[in-house]
Amino acid sequence: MIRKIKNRYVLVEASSPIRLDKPGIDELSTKLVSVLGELSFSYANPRVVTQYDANTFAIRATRSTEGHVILALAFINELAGSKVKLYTLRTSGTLAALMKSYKRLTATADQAKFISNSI
Amino acid sequence: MRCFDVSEGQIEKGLSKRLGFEHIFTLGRDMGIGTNPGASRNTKFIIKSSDDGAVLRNMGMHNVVGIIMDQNKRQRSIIEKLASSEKLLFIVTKGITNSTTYARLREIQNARKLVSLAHMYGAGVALVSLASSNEELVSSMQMFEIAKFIGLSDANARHAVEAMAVHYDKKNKE
Repeated sequence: MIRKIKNRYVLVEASSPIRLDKPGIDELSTKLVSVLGELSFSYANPRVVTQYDANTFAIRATRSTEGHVILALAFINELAGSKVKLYTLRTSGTLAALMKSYKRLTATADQAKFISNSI
Repeated sequence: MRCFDVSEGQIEKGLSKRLGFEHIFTLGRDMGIGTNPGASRNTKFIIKSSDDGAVLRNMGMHNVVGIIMDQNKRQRSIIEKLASSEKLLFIVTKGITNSTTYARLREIQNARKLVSLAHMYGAGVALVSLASSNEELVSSMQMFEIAKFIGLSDANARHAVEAMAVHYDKKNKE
């Protein structure tokens, strides 16, 4: 009997805009392999699923390994030759719930900007 | 989970909320750091000194929140006194997240040793980033994972991230 692989989705925000085209994703995967090791990387199977904006994207990882992926993302300091920090904001079992979290976070950030501009 | 952090530089308030922190204390504004807490008696203070004698002498002062081990030789006696005076042992995550491979391994080993000693003597542990820029920060979720990675149990990792809540609540009441 083959077990269904269950996943977790992690909302990640970069400290500066990043391009997640094929070379960008390959570089991110290489860095994750060097931090996690081949065995843990194979088990976690982290994949960039979607990019919401220039700074924010979602990563999918096997359930119960999302903690390792969150930690590994904290150890990455450079992408595409420039210094960047990857912050994990939320985790969720579904992409739809993650999208809702992203919209809520963006709305809160916009509100805060509006309030600070109007003061 | 109410998460708190301490940074060297000013962090944008919107970013700190997005990262899941209720408040990020700033060194030089919300609290001081150094060898001698007596110079700023009314400000919360973190002792960071490689002079074991100075650390042991000044640890009991009322405005001291905790200490950062800075290549101290008498770690056991310092942590033992820390436990009895109910101050915190601060572990800095900047060295773990922002180093290269071998330096990072050394930082992780050091952090694990300190956590093990703190557990042995019953001292409280707090995790802080001491970030001077956005690139040295981590999110509250990542801070929690780092706490578990360096050897804290789930409950103790939660305490390590929430440790500064008492000082934030006191500060708001004043």
